[in-house]
Amino acid sequence: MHTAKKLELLTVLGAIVILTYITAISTVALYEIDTPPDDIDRIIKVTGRQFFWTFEMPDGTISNEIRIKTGETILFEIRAEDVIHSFFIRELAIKQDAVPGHVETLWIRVDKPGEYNILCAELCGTGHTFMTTKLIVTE
Amino acid sequence: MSESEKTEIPKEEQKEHPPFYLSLKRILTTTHHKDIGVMYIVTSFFFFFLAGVSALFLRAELARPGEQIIEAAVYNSLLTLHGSTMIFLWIIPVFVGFANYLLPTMIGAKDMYFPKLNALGFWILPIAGALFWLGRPGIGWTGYAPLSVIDPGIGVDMWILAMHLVGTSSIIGAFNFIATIFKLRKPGMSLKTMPIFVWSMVVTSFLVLAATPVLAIVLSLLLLDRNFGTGFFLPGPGGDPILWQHLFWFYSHPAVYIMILPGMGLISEIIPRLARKTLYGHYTMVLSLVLIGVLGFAVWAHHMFTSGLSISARIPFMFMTMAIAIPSGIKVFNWVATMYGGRLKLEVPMLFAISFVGTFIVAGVTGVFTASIPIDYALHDTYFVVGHLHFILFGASTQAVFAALYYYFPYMTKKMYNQSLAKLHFIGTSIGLYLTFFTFTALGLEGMPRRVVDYLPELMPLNQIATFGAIIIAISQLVLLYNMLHSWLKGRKAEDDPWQLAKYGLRDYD
Ligand SMILES: [Cu+2]
Ligand SMILES: [Cu+2]
Repeated sequence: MHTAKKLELLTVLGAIVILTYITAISTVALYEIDTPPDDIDRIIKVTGRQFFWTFEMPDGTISNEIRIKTGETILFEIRAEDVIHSFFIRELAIKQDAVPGHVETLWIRVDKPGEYNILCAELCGTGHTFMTTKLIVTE
Repeated sequence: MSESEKTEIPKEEQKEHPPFYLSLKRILTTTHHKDIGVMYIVTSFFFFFLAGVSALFLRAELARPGEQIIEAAVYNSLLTLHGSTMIFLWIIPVFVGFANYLLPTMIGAKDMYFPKLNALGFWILPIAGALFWLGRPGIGWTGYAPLSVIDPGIGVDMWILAMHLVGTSSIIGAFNFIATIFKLRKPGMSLKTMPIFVWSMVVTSFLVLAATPVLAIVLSLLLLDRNFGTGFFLPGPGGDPILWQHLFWFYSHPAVYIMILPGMGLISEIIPRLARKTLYGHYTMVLSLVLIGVLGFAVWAHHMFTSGLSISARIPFMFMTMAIAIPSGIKVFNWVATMYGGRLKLEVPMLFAISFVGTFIVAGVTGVFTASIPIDYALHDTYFVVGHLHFILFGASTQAVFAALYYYFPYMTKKMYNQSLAKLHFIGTSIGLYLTFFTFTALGLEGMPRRVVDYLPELMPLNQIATFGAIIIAISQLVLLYNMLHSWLKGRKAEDDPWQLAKYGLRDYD
């Protein structure tokens, strides 16, 4: 059984190396994703309510969908009015919970024009499924 | 006959009695650990089927986009009931049932240390079940505040009460297991030589005792918020919704291990016997159980990677979550090493044990994905997580129960079940579970959020595959139900040594 012990030790060491590597690259990536760049073009205020999203543009206009240009750096300030929602841009594979009493941030820069689905990812009541809208990106 | 007299009856005499379940009076008054164990197992199976039916309604609704057969409010109630019932009335109590049945015998005790308390722990469960199902709130089994605070009606209050009851039942059970293990062990059985299943119950019971009081606190705060306007979880009065998440997951992450460690224990008893060998690495098995138990308390915030915690708060949790994969990996290695070179005859319990190991690996690998915070940004609160948790709770935990049921059934009922039907159950369960839960992970990668009653039309094919898989799982469980009931009533008599262990110099504890 000596070989089995060696094999087990090798497996454990291998797992430690792989997991450490994953943790390290995840940490680096996390800092990149979570640190907004200095050249923010626009700040859009996002508010989640039962059961719709509203967006306030820098000029004060309020809308139910988001229109941005490709290459624009957008910082979202995310709030919730009543219960927890989660601001989820499906095709960008990114989300940030909207928590009552908190202001959370999320930044994006989209290079591909098109329509992106905005969903709610946190169960917020009977209308949760239908708390959807669009992010429209034009050239 | 008084209860204390009954527990005194020696085993040989007791065997001549008719089984306890033939008399209603004895069902209501028994405190014998084997009777209580069987009652736990049967009751948990009832709830397993009930929660399974609610899952079928969810899958039927999702077979097509658009609201089809149930409206959103009912859908939310059903998903809450499915989760709460499967966790608190199926997985947790069914393992308590096996522990009741097996543990005293394994350590050479006549009964549990507190037999009456043991019966109380069982009788709390049906009441909790009734409260869950009469209340039917639509807040999800995680009950996130403030949704759970502002939800009108008394459904949430009944849910809170039911959760308090299952928590109390767990604490009673854990306290009793620890007392039994440390006080009633037969002379000569040291902690070193104690069977792995008993060790798994030591660790599980300490997890219950340390974590469940926190659940009781957070539930009580919610009850106060709802009925006395305290505002612990509301931002206006100075509270914070995130507080719920910290306290809830401080309990509910260790609870994941409460739901899997006993299964690992059972598997560690079954695999060596059916491989006709001894368990490889007894010491590392115990060590990894203890390590998982300890690390399990330091990973709770991995459920909150998108809640807005600071980077420096989240990175240690990512690190710890990755670290817990190591002791889990050691266990997998030891199970495989035990099977290697064994005389496997692929009896049904062994098939389920092998499948347990396989799904546990899948669950672990999908878990590493969600443990990486940047990847979790994409996967959190999507069907990927739903797939991952079902690989653990159905793939691993539930299949461990099946392995144990098929292994101990001849001891429990003195009857043997139909082998072909049992194999059919195994094949159906395997196909169904991979079809359903791999499809869930694919849906998650496609960005389908969890707990939705409708979805983008392009996701229909995957959803239909998942529904089809769920139907296969359901039909397979009907095979199990028929096989167990029919064999229990009319099956052929089991042999005294149903797994022919004696000729390999092995024995069971029964
Ligand atoms: Cu929502
Ligand atoms: Cu967890």
